Amino acid sequence: MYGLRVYNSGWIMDSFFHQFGGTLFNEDRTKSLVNSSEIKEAMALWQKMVAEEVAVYQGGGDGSNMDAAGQVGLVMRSTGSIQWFKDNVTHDWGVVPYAIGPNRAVSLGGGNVYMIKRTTEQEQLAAWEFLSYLTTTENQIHWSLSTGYMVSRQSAFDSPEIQQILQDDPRYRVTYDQIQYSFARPKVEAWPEIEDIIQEAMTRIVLQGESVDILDQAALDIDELL
Amino acid sequence: MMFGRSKRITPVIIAIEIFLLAVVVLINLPFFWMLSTSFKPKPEILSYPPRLFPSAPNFNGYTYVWKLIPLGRYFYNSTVVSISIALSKIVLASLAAYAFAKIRFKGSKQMFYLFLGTMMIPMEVIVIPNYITLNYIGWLDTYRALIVPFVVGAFSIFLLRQFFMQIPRDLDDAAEIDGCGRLRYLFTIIYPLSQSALLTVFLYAFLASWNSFLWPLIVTNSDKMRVIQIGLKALQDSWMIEWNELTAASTVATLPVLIMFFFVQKRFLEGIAITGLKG
Amino acid sequence: MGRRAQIDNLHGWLFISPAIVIFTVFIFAPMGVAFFISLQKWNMLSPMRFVGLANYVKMIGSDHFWNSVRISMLYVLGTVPVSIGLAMIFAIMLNTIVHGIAFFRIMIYLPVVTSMAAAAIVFQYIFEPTFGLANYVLDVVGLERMMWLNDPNQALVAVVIVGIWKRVGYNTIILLAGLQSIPTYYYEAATIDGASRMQMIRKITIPLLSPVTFFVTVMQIIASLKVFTSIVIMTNGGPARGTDVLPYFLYKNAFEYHKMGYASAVAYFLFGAIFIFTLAQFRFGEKRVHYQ
Repeated sequence: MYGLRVYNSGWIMDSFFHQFGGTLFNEDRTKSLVNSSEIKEAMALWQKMVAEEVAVYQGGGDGSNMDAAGQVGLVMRSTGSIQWFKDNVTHDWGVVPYAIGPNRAVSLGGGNVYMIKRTTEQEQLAAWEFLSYLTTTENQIHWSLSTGYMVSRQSAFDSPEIQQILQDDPRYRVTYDQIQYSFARPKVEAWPEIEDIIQEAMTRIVLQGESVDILDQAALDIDELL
Repeated sequence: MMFGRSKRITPVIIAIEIFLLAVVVLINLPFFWMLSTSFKPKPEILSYPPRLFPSAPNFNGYTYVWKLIPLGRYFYNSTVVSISIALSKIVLASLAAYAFAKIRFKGSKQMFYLFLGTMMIPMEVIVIPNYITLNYIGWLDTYRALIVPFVVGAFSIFLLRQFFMQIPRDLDDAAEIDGCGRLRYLFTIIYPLSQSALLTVFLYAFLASWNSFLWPLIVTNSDKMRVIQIGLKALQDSWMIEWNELTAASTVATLPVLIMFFFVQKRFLEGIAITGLKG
Repeated sequence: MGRRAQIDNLHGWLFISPAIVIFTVFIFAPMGVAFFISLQKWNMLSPMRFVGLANYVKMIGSDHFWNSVRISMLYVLGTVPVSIGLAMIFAIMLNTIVHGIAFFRIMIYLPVVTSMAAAAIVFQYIFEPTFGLANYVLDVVGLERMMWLNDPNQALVAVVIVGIWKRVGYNTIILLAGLQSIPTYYYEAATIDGASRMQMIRKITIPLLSPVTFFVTVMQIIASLKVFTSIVIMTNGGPARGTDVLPYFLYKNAFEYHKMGYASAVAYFLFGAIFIFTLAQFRFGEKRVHYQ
């Protein structure tokens, strides 16, 4: 049994770092700030919690299994997993906004839908049709109710279905309550590789007890990609 | 035989046999574990110490996984692709093998070695250009992408050539006197004589294709085209790890080749030994 | 040239032409194209930019690349000797016993025909640290539990074990065939001279088996350098690059980071490494096969 489960997904780490006042990049995304004192402080806390077995560092499906089995007290997850918790977790559970570091912060967003510009007109029309379908009020309600993700339309938010569930199950409300603390994640082209670099450094710090100063090298590696 | 033809049953030999039995049990333990887990009720999957057998076997793993991913479609895709590759390998490789074994033509030796040389180039190395080619001609995520690059292979040509060379010359001469065309000779005389070699080629090709991973991982991306091995990966990437579902899907992905292997193991193992010992 | 010879030439080339087309399009040409791409900076969206040998220079200077070289070498060193050593023992035993030889041959070979993706999933379950079978065995034997796939160093041990499991059957069958091809009169003569079993294994079996052993060794080195599926399923190269073998490094750079030029340079490096062992097999393997 652990007090907290942490893991190294980009969404989670970004929110976590923000709570300590850290950001991954500078304003114009030309330089990595992953070795800032704020992020180092955040990482040192993770390291300490895992070393003292207050927290467990476990992501992926195995991590979800721990949640379902009731092996962790707190876990940082997406609001998109609320419905999954309802389906899979038998013990009593609640939802609160992220609050580990000194500040409240949460990265708001999700897997975005893009329409690609360099395609034929026909493909663009088809893409537009699909996008329109995906974002109808009706589908947004269905999407949100089946996952817990935030609706992307005011009309969907105002719908009786969503209002009803917010009333009936206050756990859904957290999604909207925490908007005031939210920030947008920066988009950088080399993100997949950057995420791998940060995750590698995290694993070495948290699991192998290496110094948080290895983030200096990570920052240099990331700068090369920006 | 190592110690002469007449082996006597001694205690040492019995001991070795028992040891080997233990080895075989250990090696096959993962198969047992896969089957056993796939029939276990949920709580027993995560129980410790692990339970050897499910207390009350059920098919939930299988029925759930069937709902979660289009396993039937994946299975069908794997079958279509593997059979197409194996059949076309028989036809196209036997054509080339026939040429190398029975026809004297200029450059045949050089071409044969060039063909053998293709075995030195691993898929891992040429996967990028091949992906780019298929992307360029719009074949990504189609059966063609999964099948066409493998319709013929040097190994099959080599195997069949060795076999065709053993077919006596008299037969060739007789066919010629009859005015039998080469294609007809190949299909009506050589094929019936080479059933075992052709079957071996079919088996190797089917197996290699059924189990292949890297190439289908790269060239397919829709559920419609995914083969079963990649389906396993997709299932594993989903949110929660349900071991009974994963092992159920793994069983479905493994069973066809295991069954096939049991039916033809003799020919198969002989083929392996021959290729290993120099053809 | 006679008419007959002309027809033979025509037929010969016609019969091999399908193979020529396939090999040219999907093997020979790609070798050239791969080299061409390795000289470019290209993400498949923006136009290619010629950079000369920059990708190779970058590769040589990259810690991540050398980490992958190291991991691949460790994987080879972990898998090859053990899978061949065990196979040698099994083969000698199989060649000695009386009952159930066919049965043992089949059962030992099952992992070889099994799909690696499926096997890797089952092994992932076996290596699960809290309730997995592997730690249960350690508990029963009284050894310390391991973190297996969750630990950067132990993960490599786990994938090596899977590699050995997958290959030992193939090696056994080939070595067994090699054993069976050793003429019995060597042993008969040795028996008359009063040699012991161990002496016969040391003085007759192992030396006469050396060409076959050489063959399986090379085959296993090449196969180990190409290991990919078990890595993708079990570890994704992690944790902390602890199982980031070269083919996985290549795959990631090409199909996740979209650095096609850089990945092609890595592909050429991998090709070179594999090529050396293939050549070794062709040059030395063939010569030493005739041991009599």
